[in-house]
Amino acid sequence: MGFSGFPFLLGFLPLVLGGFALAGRRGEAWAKSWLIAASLVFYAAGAPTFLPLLLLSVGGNFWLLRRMHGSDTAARWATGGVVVNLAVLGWFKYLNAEPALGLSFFSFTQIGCLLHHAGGDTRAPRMRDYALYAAFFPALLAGPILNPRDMLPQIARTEGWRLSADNLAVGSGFFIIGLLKKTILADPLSTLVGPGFANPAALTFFPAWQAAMAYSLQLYFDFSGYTDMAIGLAWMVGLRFPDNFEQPYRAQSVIAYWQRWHMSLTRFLMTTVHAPLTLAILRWRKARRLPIDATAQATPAGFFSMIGMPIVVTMVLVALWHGATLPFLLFGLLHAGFLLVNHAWRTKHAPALPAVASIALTYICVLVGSVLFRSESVGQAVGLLGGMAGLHGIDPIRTDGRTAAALLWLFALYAIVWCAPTTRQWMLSGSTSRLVWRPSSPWAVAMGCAATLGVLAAGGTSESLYFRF
Amino acid sequence: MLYLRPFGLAALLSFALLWVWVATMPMAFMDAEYASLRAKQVLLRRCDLGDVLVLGDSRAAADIIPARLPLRVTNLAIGGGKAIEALSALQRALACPVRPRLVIISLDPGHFSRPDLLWDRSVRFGFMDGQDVSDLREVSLRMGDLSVYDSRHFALMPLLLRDWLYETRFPPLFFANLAHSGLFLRWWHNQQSLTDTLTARGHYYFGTDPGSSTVTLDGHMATFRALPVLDHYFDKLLGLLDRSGIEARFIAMPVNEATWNEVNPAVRDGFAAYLAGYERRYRHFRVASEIMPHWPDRFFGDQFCHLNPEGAERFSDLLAQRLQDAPPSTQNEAQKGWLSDTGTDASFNVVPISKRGS
Repeated sequence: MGFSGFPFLLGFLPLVLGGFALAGRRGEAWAKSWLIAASLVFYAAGAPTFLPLLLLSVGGNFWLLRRMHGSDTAARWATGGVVVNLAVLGWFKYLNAEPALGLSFFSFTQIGCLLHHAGGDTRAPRMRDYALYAAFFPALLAGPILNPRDMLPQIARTEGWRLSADNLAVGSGFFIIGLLKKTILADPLSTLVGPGFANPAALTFFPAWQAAMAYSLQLYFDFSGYTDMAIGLAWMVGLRFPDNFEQPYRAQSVIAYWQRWHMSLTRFLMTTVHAPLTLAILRWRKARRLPIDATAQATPAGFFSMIGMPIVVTMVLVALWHGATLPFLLFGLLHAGFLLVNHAWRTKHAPALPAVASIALTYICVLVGSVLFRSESVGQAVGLLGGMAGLHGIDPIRTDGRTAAALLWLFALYAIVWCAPTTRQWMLSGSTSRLVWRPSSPWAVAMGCAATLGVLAAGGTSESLYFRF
Repeated sequence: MLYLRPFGLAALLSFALLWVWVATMPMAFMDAEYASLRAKQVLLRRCDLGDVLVLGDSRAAADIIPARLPLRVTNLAIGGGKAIEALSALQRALACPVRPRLVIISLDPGHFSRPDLLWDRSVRFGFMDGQDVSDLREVSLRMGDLSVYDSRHFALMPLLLRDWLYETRFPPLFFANLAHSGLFLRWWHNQQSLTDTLTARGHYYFGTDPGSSTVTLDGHMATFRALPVLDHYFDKLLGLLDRSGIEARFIAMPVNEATWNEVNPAVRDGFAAYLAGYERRYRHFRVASEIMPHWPDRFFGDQFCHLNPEGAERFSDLLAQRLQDAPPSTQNEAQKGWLSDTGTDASFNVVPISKRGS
């Protein structure tokens, strides 16, 4: 059940909010139980066969957390739990014929919780709180990956489990903006992306660039729109989700890009893989009296072991997290290469490029990576990249109305990407500017009309191509 | 609440206003085929149908030009049309005071074996009304074949609710049209299309390119197998014609050479056997052409094997000659294959209607 579909918009969401309003009147326990029940229904509606897996995963991890509290062997239990979670993830993601819906997200969310409690001195959350943390429907299928440090205290509070006008106003704003991002901005791009990637070998220079650029925009607006909707849904019931995107296409380096793109995944892998691995390498070198200072990091051997290795391992995991295919693996290795060049540039104190050049260069790197990310085979990616390099010829840009409209649309989207504020900035900046959202009547009317537009657009934006008109 | 009240009111009011617009002003925003289908509904409502009715799919809609035929003909074929839409149109036609003398049926093999545009066109455009959809639901459920009825599946939405949303023109189902038309900018063009299709007695073109060598669906089919529900409707269509004593002729529209070269003989033979079975069953039904006539690619206007103006005129002239030489009552087996000409232009044999007398 997608957030932008009729069943969710016209059935599930009003029902959940109505039920939450009623349950909230009876107290915290009722409100939380209602949200857990709604989350299970939400999951079962999309993947009924995997509902037992979700229940087992939540139940099993909760049992582990209870065992870990106060135990001298908490770290060992945590390690065992992580291994089991990864094994289940690996089985259902790579070996099972049908991948389990949302498994990557709820597994990582729970692994994060196990590691958070690995010291053994942190009290395990209550069952109801943990179930809500691990299976809350807005983050269940596509994140953001929730950090236990941020989320568990919010969920554990006993006050504020009521539907409030303030939360509804802000949450609905996030949700509507996300819905419009997905339905109005991202979905129509499929008419440029699909045909381009279907036959990349036939694309000359400009159409190849158009297909790649359209895909990078589609991916951003789709995913960030989904995240905005998730943040809005959580906000409506009084929970605050972390951001997942911070204007990534404005990044001035690939390092900065990864700090702004799918931030919850980056944060998770940085804290659970990159940082521990780097620390382990530094300890290993120190134990062998090898230097670990900046000068040592500038040598090829030091750079490779202290910077290169953790980055390559982390990026390979990023690739595998998305899927066990060769294009994904190449995507991870390519980004690892970009990051290494970026780090080497810094280590050598090379002069910084002008901001515009940095943004353009970073975006081109990301664009090349996105071609691999979208391609189903290496051949497909090579075909499109070959077209972008001009290997299939350079035809003049067509001057028909359809091409002009497509180009104008792409320019408009780039203007939004590079010039518009983020949803959070727009909704919560507190600025007195009239262009920034405020809980005022004019904005209420505008957002009400935008909600209508969002529901309308859920019907799809592509007219049948069957007819010539 | 100071925020939520105007928010809710604005959302409800704007949605309601749009719903009224969508329900009452489709000519302002729908794509041009809507106007053409509307014209056919107007002809049906006026009972201005003439001696011959054409029922079928888009190829029949584009290829048969009533104005070039010696009889008064109305072309009621529609894009994506199947036996379901044909039966719906026939039932309305038979409610008129004067019944047709001949019905030409033309459906390509694909329109017996896939749902095509039932929801996108026939239902959304209002060519099939609530009763038609209700009948289809009843038949589909009874036969256990939901392939057509459930071809537009909304996840988790009850089928009856989906049907109701289509019947009431739920605005999101029309968003693409609204967005592409700027809400109202197609009004003038659609009015012109309506007038043109009414004047052309139901004929309208699809592609008008000067040739197409694209292999269409017919060339990709592995075998011919009618869906049970479409077979049921075809049977019902022929049964109704038979009981009404109306001659029915199946005339296949040409495909291009590129498609013909790819057609699996099993498809052609299976389709022929299927139609032959109905010839044996119904006294008034005859197959009056080759099963898959094939013409040079230059006569086709798009990737779906719709004839372009030159091709449609040529085909209609051949059909005119046939209708003049062999009125429905005198047609016989020996004349099968008259549309198989693939060589030089045969239309020079046709005497223009204006010179024939009547």
